Amino acid sequence: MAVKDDIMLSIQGLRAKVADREILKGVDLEIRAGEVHAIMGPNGSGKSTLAGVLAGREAYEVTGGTATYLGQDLLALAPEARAAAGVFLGFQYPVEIPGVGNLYFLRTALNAIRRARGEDELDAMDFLALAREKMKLVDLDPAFGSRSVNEGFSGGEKKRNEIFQMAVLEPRLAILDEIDSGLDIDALRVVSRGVNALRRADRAVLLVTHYKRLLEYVAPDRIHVMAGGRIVRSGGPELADELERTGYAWVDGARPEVERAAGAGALS
Amino acid sequence: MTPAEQSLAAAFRGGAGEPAWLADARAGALAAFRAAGLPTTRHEDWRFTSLAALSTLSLAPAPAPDDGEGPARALLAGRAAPEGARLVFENGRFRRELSTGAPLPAGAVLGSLADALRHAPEAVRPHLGRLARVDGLAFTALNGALLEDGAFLLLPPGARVEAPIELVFATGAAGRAVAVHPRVLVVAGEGARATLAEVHLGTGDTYLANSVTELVLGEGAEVEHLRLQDEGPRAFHVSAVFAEQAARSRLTAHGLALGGQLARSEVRARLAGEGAELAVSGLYMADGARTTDAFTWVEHAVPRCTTTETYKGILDGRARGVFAGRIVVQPGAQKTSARQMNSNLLLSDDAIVDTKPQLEIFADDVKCGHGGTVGQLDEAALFYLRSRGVEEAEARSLLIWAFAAEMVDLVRPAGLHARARELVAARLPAGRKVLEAAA
Amino acid sequence: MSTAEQLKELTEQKYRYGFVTDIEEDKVPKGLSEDVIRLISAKKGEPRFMLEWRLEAYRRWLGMEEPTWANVHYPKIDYQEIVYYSAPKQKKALGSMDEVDPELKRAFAKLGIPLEEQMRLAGVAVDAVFDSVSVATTYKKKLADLGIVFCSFSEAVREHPELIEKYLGSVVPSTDNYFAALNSAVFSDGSFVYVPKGVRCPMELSTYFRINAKDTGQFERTLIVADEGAYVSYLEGCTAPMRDENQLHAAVVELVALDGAHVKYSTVQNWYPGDAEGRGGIYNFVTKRGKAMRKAKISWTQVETGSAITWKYPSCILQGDESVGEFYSVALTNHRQQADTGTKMIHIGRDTRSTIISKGISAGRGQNTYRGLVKMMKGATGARNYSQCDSLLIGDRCGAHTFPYIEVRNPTAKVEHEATTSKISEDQLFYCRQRGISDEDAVSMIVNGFAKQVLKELPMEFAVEAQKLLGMSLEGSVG
Repeated sequence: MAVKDDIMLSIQGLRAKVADREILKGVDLEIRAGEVHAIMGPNGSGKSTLAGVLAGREAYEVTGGTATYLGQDLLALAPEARAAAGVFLGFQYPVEIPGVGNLYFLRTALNAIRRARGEDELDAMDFLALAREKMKLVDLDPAFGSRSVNEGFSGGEKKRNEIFQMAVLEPRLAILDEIDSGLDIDALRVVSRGVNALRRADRAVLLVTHYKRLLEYVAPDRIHVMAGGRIVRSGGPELADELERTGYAWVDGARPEVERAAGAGALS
Repeated sequence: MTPAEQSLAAAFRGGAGEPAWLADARAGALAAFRAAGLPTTRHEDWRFTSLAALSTLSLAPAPAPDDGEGPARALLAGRAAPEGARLVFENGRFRRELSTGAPLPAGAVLGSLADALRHAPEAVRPHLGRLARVDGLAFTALNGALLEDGAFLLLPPGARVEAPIELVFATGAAGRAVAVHPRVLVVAGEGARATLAEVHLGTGDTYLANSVTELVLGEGAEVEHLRLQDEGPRAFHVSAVFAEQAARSRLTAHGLALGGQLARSEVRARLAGEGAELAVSGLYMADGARTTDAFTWVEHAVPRCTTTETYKGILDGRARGVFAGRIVVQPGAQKTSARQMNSNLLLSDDAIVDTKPQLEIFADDVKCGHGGTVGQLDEAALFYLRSRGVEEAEARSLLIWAFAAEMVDLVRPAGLHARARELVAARLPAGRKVLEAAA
Repeated sequence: MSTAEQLKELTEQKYRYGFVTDIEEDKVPKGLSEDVIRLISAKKGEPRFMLEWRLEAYRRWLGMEEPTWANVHYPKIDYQEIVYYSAPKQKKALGSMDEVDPELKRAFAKLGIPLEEQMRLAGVAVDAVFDSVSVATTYKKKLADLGIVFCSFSEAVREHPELIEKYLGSVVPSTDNYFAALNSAVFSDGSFVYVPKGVRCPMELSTYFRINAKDTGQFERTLIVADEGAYVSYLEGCTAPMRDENQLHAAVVELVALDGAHVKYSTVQNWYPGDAEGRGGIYNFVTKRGKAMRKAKISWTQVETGSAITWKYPSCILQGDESVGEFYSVALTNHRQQADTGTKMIHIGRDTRSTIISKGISAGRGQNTYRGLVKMMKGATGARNYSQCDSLLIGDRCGAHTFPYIEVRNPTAKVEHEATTSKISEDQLFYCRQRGISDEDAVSMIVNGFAKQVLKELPMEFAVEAQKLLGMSLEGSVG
């Protein structure tokens, strides 16, 4: 199948369930290279599930629909094959791996991806030079290189580490799942700066977020509102302001009482 | 056979006048006792606890209550009235006139096991001896062969007894070494709730108190089982609690082992229904040349059960403290959560501690951990207190109390809690002052 | 076995070291008796005291019972079916590496220890034990200049009988346990190290053990003596060919660290573990113990990935005041392997210290037991122990068991034991895979991370090999 103009990701009628509960109930979405899309929505709307399904998390079972990435069936690929194909998921909760050095981990990942693409592996010295340069992007102290993956990192450090990994792995499609959650304003600025620096004409970014705050730093081309497992509205950047005023109470399937509480959180 | 084994086996009277199932059970238990013999230190579960002193004794059956004034009245003298029902057992036999009744929910039964066996054997039959297996467990077998009396508590589904039920075991006979084998059987139906406290008291005489308790918890039942063991310095105390927990039931099994020349307390629990929770804990204290031994065996047979186990020991003089705790997670018992901790305080140069916290795990999706520590009082803390003007004995007492208090406070019923505080404080050099300070 | 079959076996099996070398062997008949022991002793030209020592051990062994353990199961061993002595036939004594049988050298090369290479590049002195007799010792001369003795046990018996008589059995008495007694009676060779007062051995000393001959029990014996203030680091690596029958390996290792000495002993044990169904494999029943005198230190580091059954407890007798014992262990069991391992720290002297770090990894139907003893004797005033035993489970059919024994006879001693059990989480695996790392590589990486605290105690060359081994041993455990 040929790539239709510059569409990078095309999702049609995507349905998925976890432990017999249907969470995605028919998601449609198209993202072109060079674009930044944001998916917003209340808790439980399916945002993170969508991110997980696209990355191949095995706890989710796809029950219908398609996801085509650069002309290939994304859903047929193993998680590591998706990574090799250029799909990167920035985790909402980056995982700790005790005893495994952060840089060692990243070099193993980079070289696995390069091998899968038929490229030469980077040797330790070249990798170190690359890593040093990319760490600067998110103000990550070089000492983090030798610490165990995410172990004992603060919330902000974990998120910066995710963006650092993204910078080294240079994905075509970056899905950043609540990369802003748990960040104070300074950390949010650093992370946003990192994301902005990585915007490129041949790269697409999908931001999953609950709050508008992130979008003040990373300007999206399109915003989608998710509720009840579907995208219920799409629009330009102005949609964020509307959401800011009205909250999610108006969207289908949202529970107003929860949303007011969440909205209050957003203001504080 | 040792003199003890001989005399104990000789006390067997068969099951004349009893239902056949009970007589058969007794005969089977006696055979199991004969096959096992009293354990020696070659037995892994008794590796650190020697029964040499017991094995040379000739142990007689306890005298019948009409032989004269028994020990119970004297041992109970001065005790506060119970908060709820109190059943008193003198040398293993129920003494109605010393006991106190209390209202029970409809359908609940509380009384002497001997009475129940006489008048309603079919209510006892499905449960008696079902958990307290006799193979390879010499003392349990002995109890099964020789049991005469004890307590029986039957709670129908939903029955809740709010006030603690106190079972007082008063043991001892002047001039002869007796052996008693009380049995407690608790059957808590679905959603039933009760707190049960066994209080073990004794005279200064030499005797063997060999008690067995069986706790059957139905779905969602909540049972708190307490043991306050405060027997005389010549007593041999061996007790075993067997428990089986159905789904979502909660059992708290907590004991203070404070007396006896040899005290062995076993808890063997099986978590047989999903979501069951067990909290098993205890404090053991010994001085002189006494031995105190806490033994637990917890089996997670099904998924999603929780065990928290905490034992603390305080050893002084030439005393020996032994802890052996094993948690077994059977194949398939996923999502098990089990924590086990044993801490010991050695207060003298000659005190001894042997501890073996053990995890045996045959499932992968589990959270299990255990820990053990042995040490003495923190010198820095001791110095700090003294530099603030607290005299040494009091400072030491304060630090020991700080170590033990958590275990004392797990005795929740107010009256028993006060009693437990007194008993533990009485064993500290400046316990009185500490109690005042902590009051 | 034909070459084609051998090749087939080599390519189809997971066990990389499973080839058989065709070398003419000098064997004594199967079975055990006083005559066999006399024959072994005579073949080795041993002095009288050695023969007496062996016979005494044998007589005591006859009266001993073979131990049994929970969670370790194996069919009864027939001790009369074992060949107790097997040596490669050689024409004459060897003067240099060039004289070593080329077939043998190729065998070592397949094992990944090209002797010359190691001599030149790694600066490792290798005492290679092929079956039971040491065939080549490198770097001997350089060591000799420092007064260090590093030779086969047989040679030490001939050349340094006074040291052997003084230290043999001084840490592990010939009657210590069933397998140690058996070893004492029939051991055919092993390694001997003596480092004189104040000498720091300038290189890692290394022995590779290998069981080659069929039906051969391997009973080697290692004795390392570090005199006052001396230092030595010793590496032991083990592999064995694949066979359907089980083979017995009952070694004894004795370490003596005199005042102020430090002996570091590292093992990477990769004996044939048997196939996925549990056929074949080595029974590894080993007694390892060190004695540390005043201010001396003994460090055991082990990575155990092989053998059908492993039963070993490298131990420290902390005899001298302020002596130190360390035990770092990674034990991995996959398929139907069983490991029962741990340590004993016997604190006798004042202010003695010990550290135990044990990492158990269970996969497949593997059973992994940590069994340890920390004993604070009456005189161990101010002694300290810290133990940490962690288990990692991979799959729901394996088992991980932790059985520490803590016995304290001194109130000023302080003992702490901690243990945890966990599995590799789905989240960890997914995180790795999302970054492009395959399932098996992710497991291997996570396992190596789990074991890192121990692996970092290994000398560099060994650490790399150990990491690879952990990954290899887990093949087939995921998915």
